[in-house]
Order: sequence, then C-alpha cells, then structure tokens
Amino acid sequence: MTVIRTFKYGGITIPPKRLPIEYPVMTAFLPTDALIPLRQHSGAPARRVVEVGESIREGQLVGKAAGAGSSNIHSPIPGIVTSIQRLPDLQGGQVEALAVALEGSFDRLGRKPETFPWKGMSKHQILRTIADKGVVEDDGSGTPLFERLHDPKGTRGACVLVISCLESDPWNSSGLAILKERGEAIREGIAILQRGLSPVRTLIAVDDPESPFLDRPARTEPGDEGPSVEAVLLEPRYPQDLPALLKEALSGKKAPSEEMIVLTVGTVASVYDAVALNRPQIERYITVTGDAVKTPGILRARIGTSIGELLEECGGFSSAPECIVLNGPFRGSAVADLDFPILKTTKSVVALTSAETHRHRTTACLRCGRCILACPMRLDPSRLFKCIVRRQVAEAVSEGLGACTECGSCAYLCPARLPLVQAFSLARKGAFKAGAAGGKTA
Amino acid sequence: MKSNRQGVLVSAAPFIHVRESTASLMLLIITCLLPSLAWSVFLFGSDVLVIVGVSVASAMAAEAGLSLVRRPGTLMDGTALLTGLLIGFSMPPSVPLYIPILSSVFAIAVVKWSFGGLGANWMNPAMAGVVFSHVNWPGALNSWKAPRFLTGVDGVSSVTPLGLLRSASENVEGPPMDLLREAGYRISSLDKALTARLNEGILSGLGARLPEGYVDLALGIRPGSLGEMAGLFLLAGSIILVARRVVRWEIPAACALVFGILVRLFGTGSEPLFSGDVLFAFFTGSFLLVTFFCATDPSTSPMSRPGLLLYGSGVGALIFLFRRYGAGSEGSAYAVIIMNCLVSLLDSALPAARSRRRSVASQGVGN
Repeated sequence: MTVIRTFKYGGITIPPKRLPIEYPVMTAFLPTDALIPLRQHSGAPARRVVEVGESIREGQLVGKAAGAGSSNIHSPIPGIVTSIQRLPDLQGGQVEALAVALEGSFDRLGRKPETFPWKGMSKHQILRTIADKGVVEDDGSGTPLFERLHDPKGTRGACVLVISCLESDPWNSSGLAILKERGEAIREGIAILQRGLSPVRTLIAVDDPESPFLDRPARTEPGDEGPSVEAVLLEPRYPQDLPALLKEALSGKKAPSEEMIVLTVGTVASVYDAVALNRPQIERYITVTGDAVKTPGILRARIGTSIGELLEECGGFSSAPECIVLNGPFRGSAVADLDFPILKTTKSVVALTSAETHRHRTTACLRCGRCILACPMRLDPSRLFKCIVRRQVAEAVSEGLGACTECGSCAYLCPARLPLVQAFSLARKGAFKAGAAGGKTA
Repeated sequence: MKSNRQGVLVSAAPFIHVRESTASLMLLIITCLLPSLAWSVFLFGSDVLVIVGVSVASAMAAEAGLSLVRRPGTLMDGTALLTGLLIGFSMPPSVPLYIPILSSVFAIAVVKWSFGGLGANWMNPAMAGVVFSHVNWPGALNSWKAPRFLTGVDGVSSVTPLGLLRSASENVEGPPMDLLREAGYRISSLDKALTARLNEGILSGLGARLPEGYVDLALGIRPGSLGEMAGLFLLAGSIILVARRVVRWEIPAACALVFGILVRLFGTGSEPLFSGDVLFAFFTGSFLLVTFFCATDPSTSPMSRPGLLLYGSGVGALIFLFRRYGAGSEGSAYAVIIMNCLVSLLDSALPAARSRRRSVASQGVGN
C-alpha cells in the first residue's frame, strides 16, 4: 500500500468543493470592453506603450515590464484603446488600466495553433520567450516566471522541479480543469521547463487519487525519452500548496538538500502556450462558484473580462451574496465592484452567502487553542494577536510573526472570530518598515 | 468592515469560518448539562429549578449590568448563563436562595469582570463563586436532603457519602462501601435490584461481582449537590464535548489518571495502602462535574499540550489532596481555582513552548 503523505502539523481538512463540470468547459463571451490593468504581477506596473485611440491587435504588447517583479502585458482582444482609467489594485493603492473596445479581427481565435519547434531552442531562448510572453506564476503571488527560473550569476546548484496540481483553496477547481483539458500541454510544458532549468528530479504533487498524472506523469511518445517525471500522491489538505509545507509533505523526514522550484499546473500550461504556441498569457480558467451563484462552473475567459460578466454567464445570483471574493475565501481578496477585471493571477470568483461565511460579531478570545493546533507554521496565533493588540510588534516578531504565511487557518477556526490574519498582515507591513532597524540591534 | 454601494461587504481574508462561535460552543456545553438538570429535578423535585433558575438569573443580571458599564454585548455569548448554571449545580438541594444569588453575583462581578470579562478571567468564575459560598456559609452548604428512592429507607440521611465516610473512618480501616454500610448509609431498593441483575448477567460471565451501592452512586441516588448527582449523565455529556473538541481531552484525561492513581495508592480515607476504591472516588463528590465541565473551561486553562497535561494532573492531584487530607470532605472547587492561577505560568514558562518559539523565530522572515 502506498503511503499518502501530507505535512506534519496544523492545517485544515476540508473536502474540496468539486463542481459537476462537463468538459470541455464553457468558453466565456469575449468582452466587448476589456479593462487591462498595467499591474497583474508582483512588482511595479508595466510601462504603457499604447495611446488612447490607438488600434491594437489580439496579443499585442500594451505594457512593457519595468524593473524587477514587473512583467509584459498583452492585449487579450483586438480593438481600440478608448481610455485610461484608474482601478483599485488588489495589493492596495491604485493602478492604471487600459479600456479596450472590441473591434477588428482575431489573429489567433478560431485558427488552428501552430506548434513552434521549441526543441531547437537553447536554455536562454526558452527563458527569454517566457519573459517576453509575460508569463507570471498563478499561485497568487504573480511573480514573473522568468525571475523564478533565471539564474544570472549561476549560483543555483542542483534543483528539483515540483509541479503542483494542488488547488490553492478548497473553493478553486481551475487546476482540475486545466489538468483535464490540457494534460498533453502540461506534459510538454514540463519537458520545456526541464530543458530550461535542467532539474535533477521532477516531481508532480497530486492530491486527487484519480488524477491521470499518477499513471502517466511524463510524455511517452516513442523515440522521445526525456528526463523522467515522478508523481507523488498527497492527502488533500489546506494549505498544502505553500512551498514550505509541500516540501515537508513530499520529502517526509529526509528533506532533499536541493532547492525546490514549485510551479502550479496553470503556470506550466502558460509556459507551453508561450514557448510552443508562441502565445502571450491572455486567457485564464476561472472557477465561478459559491452558494450565491445560480449555476457554478468553470469558464475559459480572456483577461480583462469583468467578473460581473462571468457571474452573469453562470446564471447570475440565486440569492444575495454577502461578499464576492477573488481567488478563494481563505486567502483571496474581496471585491466591491463587479466591473473589476480578470487578471493573470485570477483563479476564481466566489460569491458567498451568509450561510457559508458564518460571520458573527467578534468576542473576546476564549483561549480554546484551536488556532495553535491549526497553524501549519507552528506559531501561537492567539499570543501573536495579543502582542499586536498591545502594540508590542517587536515581541510578536520574536514570537515568529515573520513566519506567518497568512493562510487563514487560525482565523477560519476561531470561534471568537478574532481578526487574526488582518492583524498579522497589518503588523507585518508596519513591522518590517520599522523592523529593519530593530532587526539590526537584535 | 466597509460596505460599498451595492451592499457587498469588503473585509479581510479569510471570508469563511467554521460554524462554531463563542455562543454556540457555550450553548453546546449547556445542552450537555441539561440531562443532569432534568435528572436532578426528578430526584429532588421542582425546588431544583428554583435554585438553578435564581442562580442563572442573578449571574445574567450581573453580566448585563457590568457589560453596560464596561463592554457592551457580552450578555448573549452564553458564558454568564453557563456560570450561573454551574453555581446552581454546586448548591445543596435545600440551600437558602440568597446563597446562590450572592455567589453568582460575586462570580460575575468580582471574579469575571475584575480584569475585563470574558477572556481575561483569572479564575473560573463559577468555581470562585462556589468557593465564596463555601467560605461564607459552611453550615448551609453542608445540610443535605435525601433524594427520591431513599426517602422511604431507614438509616442515616442527609449526609453525603464522602462526609459520612470521613466521620466513619476515624478509627477503622476498610473498603469505603463496607464502612458506609456499617455507619448506617442507606442503599435504595433500585440499587439492590440492579446490582443483582448485573451480577447474575454480564458480570458473572466475566467472573466479577459488583458490591451493592455503586449503582446508587452512578445514578446519583445519594445526598449531594444538585448537578453532581448523575455521574452517568455527566459522562455522556463529556463524551460529546470531547468529541466535538469543545473541551481538550488532555485535561480530563490527565486529571482522572492522576486522581485515579493517587486514590488507588492512598485511598479515599479509609482504605489500607495500595487498595483504594477508585470507582467510589470517581462517583462521589463533584469530581466528574468539576473535571469535565469546570476544569476544562478554555478561558482558564492553558493552551499548549504540555501545559494542558500538567494543568489536568495538578487539578487531579489537588482534588485528591483536599479530599484525603483537607479540612472539608470536598475540595474540587479549590483545586480548580488554584490551578487557574498557575495558567499563565504554565503557558509561558514551559520549556517545550519556549524552544518551539525560539526555533520559529530563528527561521526569520520566511516566505
């Protein structure tokens, strides 16, 4: 019998909210007016390279990466730039966004994609293409993939490539749809990444016992013996997709000394699109779910489509939502505006009813200790919270505040409904501005 | 929480929570105590409802008053209701009504709210209220009444088994049940019938024999305070609480283990060394009520596992100490409040917790 592995301490076991999906998934209507924010990645906004009134093609570069953490941005639809708007940014603040009115003909849509002979490309060319096509990680961080893979000083030793089929949130099932529909693209994407990265091992982390990757992890074309790929079955548990926990789960006690590079299947599919199909990142698989949605499902939508349009395609609301959340209720962000667009990092739109959120008024801490048992980083959230409320942020840092991943397990379980994650997040933002000085003296 | 023009809430993640809230947890504990209350009403009559009702009402009135002054909105979280219920449960059946009233008000106004109410309790309010009543009115709290099934039986009434054992064992040694019988302790006809049935049935097959009197103890057919009577009902309720993780299993487990071992070694008062009667000790006094429902109050118990185990062991050891060598026949409430005062020490000073924290802090700013 195979041992199904998982990480050792804390976390939450929630059965994943699997949707009854028919494949292929529905393709969402193209947006007649797309909103394209110039920041869909972790770093600074991209530099705008088109003007109002300019007509642009599908997949044309509209924003050029500007510095570290920034990434190229392409137009998802052909059309005319009608205006430049200010949009609220999910990371806080505001960001410039292009409004594009649909017009003209599609260069790619409806045509059979041409496969680019990537096997002749060098390592460097592969990474360059990934950067050019604006591929960012879809794990929520939005780190440009090029920066993760690039090793300019040659300091990286042996590394292990880990492809994660785990969903970032029990409410997301986009990864499942990508696996089902784009299995071959993922297998080829893995081969591309193996060429670009030369890992010593490649693992696929799977938490669904029926995943097709368990039987056939790598491509098995005759005469195409690439580097091997191993699949590892894990127990479905939140938040196993965090790299530190995934590493613990994969390796058990004997942790590999090599650096692990963890990429999600969505990222791998984008790599295939960029390198083999020469396509920029302009499309996403979006899970539209939550009890407030009439017919939940998964849609293939262009970036820039508003979440309101997607919700409408899923039948609209069956009851009044209490909140609408992007990227899952555990770690996502709430949006107030249904005109907010789909970004490169969006995975799901969840409209939650009050019966799902179980929102109550906050009471005093009961000291029940559930948060301590839930914290996968082995912190004591109740103690951290107490320190922060007393404005002793330095003490909270010494108690391990820096190790918090803001996974939300503690706040999810808290019967007193303490705003634990909110406090940690605010304290970290404040603490590490002032904390640099404190860190030196310590 | 801000609300935008569409009436959709915007706040911070996570946006979903477990169903349990403070109030629902309290409600579950209260529900698990209700069978005991019903059994007590059956045994002692409707006076029980008056005593418990008055106790609950005065606890909630005190809570309402103080939450108006200091922090509004704590009345409906159910904690004051539970405190009042536990104080009512610890009263003897014929107690004058001013005693539960004053004890409940003391518990809420002085013990619970002196450092800011729920979450800042330095002692379990209910246990402190019980101790308050024992200190002030020792006589009234030591007058007992025979329950149903015992009213028609000849013998000594209105003494608890523990109290009777204490006076009976001054000069004699022997198993507690034998001493009680010699001292004139009464056993109900129900017990006699059930014990005979058990001995003929299951137990004869196992080669064991249950002496008379234990069925009375397990069903609470003995003089005692209102809520401690039905040991079996309390056990059933506690299983629900542990299974739903409302109480941490470490506390009752450590407490029962340490108490059981000590009783086995040193007895309840009358037995020779190494042959204590553990079953008798578990089902007399308020041991079960205190172990499962009072010592486990999360607000006044530690949070880490080593802390919980130490705390539970401490409660068990102190209950034994007070029972065996103390001035009164019962001391569970004292045991709990003494261990309550050590909680912050247990939480912060345990080497396990400290080293864990150090290792986490040394990882630095990860991820």
